Amino acid sequence: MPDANDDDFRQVLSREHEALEKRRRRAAAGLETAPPKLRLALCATLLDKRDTGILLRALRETPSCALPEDLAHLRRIFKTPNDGPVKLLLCCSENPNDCTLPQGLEAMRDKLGDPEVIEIPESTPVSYEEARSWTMRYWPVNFIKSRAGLSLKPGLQVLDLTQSDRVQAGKYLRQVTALSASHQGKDAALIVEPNADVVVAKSLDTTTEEGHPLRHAAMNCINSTCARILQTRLSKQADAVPSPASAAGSRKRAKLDEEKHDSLAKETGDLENDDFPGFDPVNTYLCTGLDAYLSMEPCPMCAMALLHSRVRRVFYASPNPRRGALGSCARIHCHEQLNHHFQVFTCADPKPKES
Amino acid sequence: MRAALAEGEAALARREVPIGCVFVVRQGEENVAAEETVLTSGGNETNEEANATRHAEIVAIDRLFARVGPSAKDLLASSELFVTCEPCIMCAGALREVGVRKITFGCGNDKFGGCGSVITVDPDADLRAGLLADEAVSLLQKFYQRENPQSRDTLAAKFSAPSPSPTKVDQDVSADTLS
Repeated sequence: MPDANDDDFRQVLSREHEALEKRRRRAAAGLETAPPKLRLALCATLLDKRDTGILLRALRETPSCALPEDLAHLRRIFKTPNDGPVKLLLCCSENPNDCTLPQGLEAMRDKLGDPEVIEIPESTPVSYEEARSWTMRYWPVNFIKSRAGLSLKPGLQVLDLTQSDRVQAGKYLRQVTALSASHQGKDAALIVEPNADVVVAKSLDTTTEEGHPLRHAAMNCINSTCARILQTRLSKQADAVPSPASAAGSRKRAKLDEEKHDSLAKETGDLENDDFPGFDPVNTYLCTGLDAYLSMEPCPMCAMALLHSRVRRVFYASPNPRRGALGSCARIHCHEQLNHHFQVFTCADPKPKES
Repeated sequence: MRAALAEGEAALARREVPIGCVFVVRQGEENVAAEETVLTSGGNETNEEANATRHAEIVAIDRLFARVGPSAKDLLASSELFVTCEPCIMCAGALREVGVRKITFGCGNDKFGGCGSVITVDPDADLRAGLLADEAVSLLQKFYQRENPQSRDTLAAKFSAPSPSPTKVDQDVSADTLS
């Protein structure tokens, strides 16, 4: 089943951001994009091109000619093709019939032709290509990269996976789908330390075996990871000071989870159990910096559990159209209100799960 | 709700985010002097377990399953939840999984709320908000006046192992474990 294309991922973004990305890709491919929102403005032809500098300075110094911040993509000068006349954008306009020269520019009247009302793009272009096509059709606009995106929290931004990211993600995603396939298609999950490139925990869905409806693969995997982190931390602490009585309970719990993990690890022939070079459980705050790999898109509970645990990225193999919370039914990771954000990826070409 | 607040108090004493809950089964006719039995209860254990998913609701559900086994699901399905703070998206998802529909909570949860504040996980849930909300809030305030013992700064100080990047943790970090 796995082939070379499995290393190709699609980032799951907010609907708004997804539309923006689609527009950007279409523009880059030279395809038609949505026309910009237009607004009225006043422009005038320069009678003598040598006056360009004087006029630009005058426009800069005249308050009524100032352009609002969100129109920063518009150019002031329009050099019409084939060495034609130079037009200047004077100011925004509200009334299509009002062609009077803006206040404060009267001294320049003899250098300008009659002002005319035109339509200019109010929207900000999302790419060079879009800026170029709008320039041809309406009025010259610049593509300003920092203004092209939506203002989003860092975790919600588009992330270009590097080649080594893709190779690593492909490897673990194949591993998790193989784990699922070898257990009658039960959901499976891996939590991975990306820098050390090791699996910290692997889990299967055990709702049926345990008769416990919350034992989803991702929840089990978070529990195993936390148990391992806690276990290491407690034993480190025990080395330093005699362990306090209160820690005994959680130590026992951690031990239990640990054993459960080990039995699965043995069963799946996993040897990355004892020590993780490069992974420091003592200084790990929850699952910060770890990546999660899931055979199936998580439900709201698991998605939020991953978010609470502060994982870095989530990769899932197949979408869950019925109750997936990271793309299908909801996009929990795109809520600005939440305090942590991770990036979510899925296969570029998702294969629906057969069941 | 008093019992849930008591669980919250107990969590505070363990230096946890003070949120508590009880699952209650009512026997007899509704609105008649019904007999109420506490099925299971729990408080936050996120810090003790170093596991951000150990919220009061999950702890209480796990306790019941540990005690009675798979039949816990049927018991829970007929029960009613009282929790001091609005269940987060994860807990709201968990409650839907186990079939708890009647949910009464104290204060809302603007950061993680799964019962209307951020999103509504289960549109069919029968929600009641604001019961003893002031007491739930003052309990939380008591906690946030102190530091969160599991936050990165405190951990780094507790374990003298070299910290790769001792980044400054803002005030909000202590709120991640909010149920």
